[in-house]
Parts: sequence; structure tokens; C-alpha cells
Amino acid sequence: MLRTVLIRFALITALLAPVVYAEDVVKPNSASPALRARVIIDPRAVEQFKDRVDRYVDLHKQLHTKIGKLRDDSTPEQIADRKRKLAEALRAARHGARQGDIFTAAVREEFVRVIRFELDTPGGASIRRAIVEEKPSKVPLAVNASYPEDKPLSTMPPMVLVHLPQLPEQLEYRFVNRSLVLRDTVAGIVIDFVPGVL
Amino acid sequence: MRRCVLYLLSLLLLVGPATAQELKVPNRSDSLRFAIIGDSGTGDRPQYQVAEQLIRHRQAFPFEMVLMMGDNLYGGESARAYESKFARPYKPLLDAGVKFYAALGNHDDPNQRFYKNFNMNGERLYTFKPKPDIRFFALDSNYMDRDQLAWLEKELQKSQSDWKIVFFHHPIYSSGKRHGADVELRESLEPLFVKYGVSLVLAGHEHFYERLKPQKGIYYFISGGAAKLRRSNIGRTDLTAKGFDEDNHFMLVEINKDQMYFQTISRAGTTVDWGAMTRPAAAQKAMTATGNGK
Repeated sequence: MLRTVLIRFALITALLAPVVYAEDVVKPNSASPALRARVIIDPRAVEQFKDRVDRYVDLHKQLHTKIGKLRDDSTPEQIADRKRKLAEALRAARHGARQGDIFTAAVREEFVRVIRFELDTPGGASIRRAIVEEKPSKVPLAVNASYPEDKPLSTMPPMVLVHLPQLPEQLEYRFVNRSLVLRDTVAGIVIDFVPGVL
Repeated sequence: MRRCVLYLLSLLLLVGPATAQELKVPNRSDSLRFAIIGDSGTGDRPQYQVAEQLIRHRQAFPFEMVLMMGDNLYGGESARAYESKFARPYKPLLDAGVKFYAALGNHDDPNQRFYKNFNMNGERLYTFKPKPDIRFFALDSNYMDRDQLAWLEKELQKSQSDWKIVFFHHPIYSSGKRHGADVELRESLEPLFVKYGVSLVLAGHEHFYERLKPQKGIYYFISGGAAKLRRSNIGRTDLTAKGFDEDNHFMLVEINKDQMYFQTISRAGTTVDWGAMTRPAAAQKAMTATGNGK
């Protein structure tokens, strides 16, 4: 009896999972039918990823509030100062953070799968070219390190972004070398990265 | 001595304020008048020279704002960089109350959105309406995710303005040999532009000037040469109405009711392109009314 209940529960959960994570399935842009995800990341990986991202963002918000948030009428000195202080605070709070803390093995595998799937489509060659043309290379990557200021930020193709979990405004994805990087948009530091995506 | 005097007089004529004859735009006081610069943030001599031309031309054509097409600061975001690559070259304009509205380029740290003189309201994407019936939308073409597209669609849908002008860094139509058009971005954005009646799209990224032939009823300009320059970089395509890749440049634009006038000026102060355009929807309406439905 218990076994039957458990099996039924598992089946119902499996059926409902796409609904639960529907927010992560791209809502077709009403005027851009081209912007639809062709493959979906495993919802369990998405949940794991989002959980870790949310924890990071909570930390970011806490520290950012403590330091003092940037306003939209900031001077360059204020911007540079806040960026530096927030980066230092995050590094201290995340002392010992390592590659794979957010992009766990399961998450990495899924990200690599969907990105490579998109790059292997007929239109993927031009996307890959666009990424390669603009992404910085020979950048030493390390968790908690500052993204080098003299390097441009790679342009993220819409058809890559549509396949990845949406990020809160404090974070963004970028390509660096052959890796996908998770970058803090205010502190300018590398939070984690997936090597060998490209 | 006479030669000296003549020489000095010539110099004065060269560096004096732009005269009315040099302007190819009507310069009406009830127009929206603005300038466009792109890929400007080098801090090098060409940037300062283009800035001098901008300042000079403002004496005859008092534009109230400048649109920045991205790559506003190259090579770092220190306070000194903001000073030498933006605040100092454009100081007379800033002091005169001219507002700069920036879009982010691939060389720009997103923290630029907090800089008071870029007027980005702390956002990577924003919209503003400097005059009735003219609304601008600034996008971050480096990061065109679902949220941004949703925001753009919502704002375009909401806007009742006759002129909807969108600007961002990466051109979706271009004859550039180095970069070329961002076709994927085009697939995401163009349907929205067409559906919601965008009139004009401005971009940078290519280090030259290109006026493109209208695409699906929308005017496109690339202006990415306010400091950077890539000579001989415009390829031969059917897209180009006019191109200029021999020197740096900036643009002056005037919008009055359904008419838009533009003048593209080189670093040396020479006019390299100019013209007038009718707002596409108004032109279409006029054609329909006269029965000329071609």
C-alpha cells in the first residue's frame, strides 16, 4: 500500500515538474517566435542552480545595503569605491569559495549540454562566431577574482541566454576564454564558472 | 606682416563658430535637436577633436542632448578614465546643461548605469521622452535576455509617441567587414520594431558611419566613429545609402513634427552626409491618402 502511494506520488511529481518550473521555460516573445528554447535544462539542475544563486544574491544584497547602494546620480569616485568595497566584502564572506560551488557537476553538465546543443544547430555556427569574435581570451579565471577592467565583456547571444535560467539583476553570464562565467554586475567579480563550454 | 595677419585671420575663420551656412538642418527653435556619438571613450586626440567640432557646432545648432551609442569608456572605469574619456572632452557641453544619454557597449562596465552624467536612471535599459511625441528607448545589446525583450515590448506597446527611436550598441543591419550585422539580435528585435512602429534605430560598434537604406520601413544609422575609426571597413552591400569610413564623425539630428533632418560631420568639420526623412508611418499615410500605394 505504502509502495503504491509512493509510486503514485513520484509519478504525479514527475508530471507536475514541467509546470512547477514553467517559469524557466521561455515564454515565447509574442513578436519574436525565433526566440524559443529548443532544449530544456533538467528542472532539478535548474532548482539546484537557482537555490545557490538565490543564496549568493541574498548575501550580495545584505552587503550592498551595509556598504551603501549606488544611486543613479553617482560620481565616478563613488562607483569605483562601492565596487571595490562590495568586492572586498563578498570575497571576505565567500572566503574559500571554489569553482563548482554554484555550477555543481550536475548543473555544469546541463549547461554544457544546452549551450553546445544550440551551437551545433544550423544557425549555431554564426552564434559561435559572434561569441568567439567578442569574448576575451587569455584571461586568468578564478572564483572571487575581479573581472579585468581592461577587457571587454562578451556579448551574450539571445539564443544562448534563452536556454539558460534567468538571473537576477545582480548577476550575469559572460563567456571568457572557453568558459561560461557567472559575474557579479556591481562588484565585478567572478562568482563561478563552467570551463570548456566552447 | 600682411601675410601674418592674413594667416591669423584664416585661422580665426577655421576655428570660429559654425555658421548658419554650414548647417544643413533647419534649426528651428521648436524642434528636438540632438547629437549622436558612438564608440567615443578613448581619451585620444581624435575624441577631443570631434568634441571640439561638437562644441563649435552647438553654437549655431543648440542641441539639448547627446545620444551615446556605447563603448563610452575604453580600457577601464577609474575616476580618471571618466574624467579624461568623457567629462573633460565634453565639459563645455555638460556645463551648458546638455544631457548625455548612454547605451552600454561591449567595452562598458554595467556600473556606468549609475553615473549621473549618463542619465541611465541606474538601469541598463530605459526610456525617456524629451518632447511630446518623441520617445527614446535605450537597450543593452550585449545582453538581450527575455526580461529585456519583455520590457521593450511592454514599453513600445504602451507608448503613444509618434516617433519611437531605439538606440543600442550592436547594429542589426551593417555593411561592416569587421563586425557586420548582428543577425541573431535582429531576429529578436526587428519583429518588435515592426510591430510597434519604431521609426528610427541607431547603433554604434562599427567604427565608421553608415546610413542604411530603410529596412521594413525603418530608418537605420550606424554612428560608431566619434573616437575610434576603422578605415575602409564598409563593405560593398545593397544596404548602404551612404557610408563614411575615412575619418571620425558625429551626427546632428533635428526632429520637427513628422520630419527628421540629419547632418553627419567629420572630425575636420566637413559635412559628409545630410538629408531629411519623413516619419515612416506619416509617409505611408500620405501615400495612402494620395492613392499612390506603391
